[in-house]
Amino acid sequence: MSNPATHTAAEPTVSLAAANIAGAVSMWSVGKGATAVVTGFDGITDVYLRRMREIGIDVGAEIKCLNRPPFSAPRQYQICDGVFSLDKEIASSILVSAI
Amino acid sequence: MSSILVIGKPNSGKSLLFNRLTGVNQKVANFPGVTVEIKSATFRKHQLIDFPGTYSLDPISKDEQTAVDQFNSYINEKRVRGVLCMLDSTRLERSLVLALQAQKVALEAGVPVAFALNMMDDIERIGESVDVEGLQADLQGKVFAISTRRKQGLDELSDALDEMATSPTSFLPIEPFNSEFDSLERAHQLHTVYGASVDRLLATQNRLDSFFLSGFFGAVAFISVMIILFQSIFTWAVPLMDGVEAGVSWLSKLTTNNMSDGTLKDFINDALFGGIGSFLVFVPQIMVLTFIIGLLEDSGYLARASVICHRGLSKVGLSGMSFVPYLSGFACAIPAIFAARTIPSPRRRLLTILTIPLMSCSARLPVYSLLVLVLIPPTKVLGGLLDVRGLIFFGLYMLGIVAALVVSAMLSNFVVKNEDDVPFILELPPYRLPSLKPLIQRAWNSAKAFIKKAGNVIFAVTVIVWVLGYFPNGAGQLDSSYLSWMGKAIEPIFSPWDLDWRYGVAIIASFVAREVFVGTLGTMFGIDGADENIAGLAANIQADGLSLASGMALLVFYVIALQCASTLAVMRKEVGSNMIPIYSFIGYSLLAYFAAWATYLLVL
Repeated sequence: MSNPATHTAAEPTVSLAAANIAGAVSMWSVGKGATAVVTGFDGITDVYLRRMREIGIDVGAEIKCLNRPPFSAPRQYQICDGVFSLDKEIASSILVSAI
Repeated sequence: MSSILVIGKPNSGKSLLFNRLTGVNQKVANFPGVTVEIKSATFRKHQLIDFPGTYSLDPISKDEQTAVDQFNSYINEKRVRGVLCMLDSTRLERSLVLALQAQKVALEAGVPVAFALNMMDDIERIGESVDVEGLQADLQGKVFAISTRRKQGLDELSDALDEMATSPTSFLPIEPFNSEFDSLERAHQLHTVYGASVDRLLATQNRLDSFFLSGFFGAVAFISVMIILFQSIFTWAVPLMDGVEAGVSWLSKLTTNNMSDGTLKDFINDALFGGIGSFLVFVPQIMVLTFIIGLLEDSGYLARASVICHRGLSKVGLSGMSFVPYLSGFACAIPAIFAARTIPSPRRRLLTILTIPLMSCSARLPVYSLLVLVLIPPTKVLGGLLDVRGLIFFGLYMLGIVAALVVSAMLSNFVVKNEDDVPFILELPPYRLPSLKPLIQRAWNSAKAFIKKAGNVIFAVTVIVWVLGYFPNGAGQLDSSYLSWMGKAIEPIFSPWDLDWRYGVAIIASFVAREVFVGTLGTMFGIDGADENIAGLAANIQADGLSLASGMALLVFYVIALQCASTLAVMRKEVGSNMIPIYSFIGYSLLAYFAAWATYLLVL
């Protein structure tokens, strides 16, 4: 089965080291009701980096954590004019700074 | 025929607009990814082509890939006279990303683009506005403010699309089009200048989400919704079922009263009313099931249910996005398998497709209903709030779900491996109050499809069963018929469940279609002289003495067995393998047989 979503380890990623961001925390750790600004990405492949930007998660974008359900269930974030649910894997790869 | 392409982000209202403009009844719902196939229909003298929703022309899932590949292919065809980009005015920036990319591609191919700014009723309701004139000037393309739900602005849009298909050049930009832009930046800029603030809309959505997605209340709400779904199939449908049953009996008497005794009368009585009639009794349940699923889809709750289920489903190799295909599987496995295209991870998509046949589709409903009516007495619990039959029904559906999770966990660990995973990102649509008319229409369509099936496949099998059961000795002589001779040959297969040859014949016949089980039993009991209550098959089976253990074994068999050739064909198409459907058929048949045997021994 071929699918464009199938990635290999060889695909380029934006690493935390490359982003060289001091004091950044992951989006997953943003508290309920708190707002933060996206500062970079850690370990996201190009395809997903592009999709992140398309849904509004780009460097400089404001995000607000709306819900933090228990048991590591996906969390809800307001991003521009939309609400998205992201699981731990992807939200941990997005770096933010608290406002 | 000249064509117009309709493209837009998921859940932007493309399908509803397509239905409104063409008059067809394509499925619409309030969650992303309802359209997974390209649909076309006639609009005035032209053809309208609806593409699956996608966030951009850089796809990440199979449904997006389909949309993008086909869009790039269609756009260079001579018959394509224009592109209509759907914009969601409540999610303008996100909608514009794709619209700007599509506009660039289309104009490069010399095809004009128009924009439909949908959901303007929501914007007006919160006292906001979008600068349509300014947006139109900046985009260098016509923008039509519409509300597909309220049917606002559709006449003007229809006339414009007609004109576009007839004389496309008048819709091309007058000034030279500058295609040197980054679609993300430009979308943000256009939204900032011309878009509306949707904070009030989001505030309402967020208040509801804080309840439906909270740990405790979210779980309680989810379980309650599921219990209500299955209770309603029994409690709401029963009066209607009684009505159909009475109608079939009345029609049977009316038709055969003045007929002289003989083969024709026996055929009409046993095969037509006994077989097909007993099957039609279950049409109201199909309608109620479709109505409730539609209600959940249109409200926007399904996306929340996907989020709630994600963590649990990911433990067994699935995804929260598997939930919607699973729920669709309660109606029919075929659209459910197509719906799995929205799952970006190939591994999770494959596991979802392989386990969808365990979701209890509407074809199983008549079988469950018949056997539950036979085996379980009508008892109310919790002060009359719940019906035990409804709870057993819920249990059967749950059994299918649990079986799917177990099978997925096993396949995930031992068979389907070595795929990089894809993260879970799901847009949560706004909550909406569902409109009654489309829901009733959808329920009616499901009933029509069910009756149509009864008219061909079920009727054909019923006639064959009747001929074999009636001859050579006529009515009341089923035990010495050709069917009996054949049935007794296979009786040893089902004797471990203590079922006689009649049930064996009904099970084997139901490999053509599951519902045939009911029609076949109805025909056989009709031939055997139970014609005083021709549509009351449950009462006839009860009088015949089906034991609880055998009945439960039958139920478990029908929960697991994969008796649907169409499902296997679609599975083959979607996974691109001949062997996977064959293994699935053999595997589920064996699992169903031995699970039924084990159930018989446990209940005995």
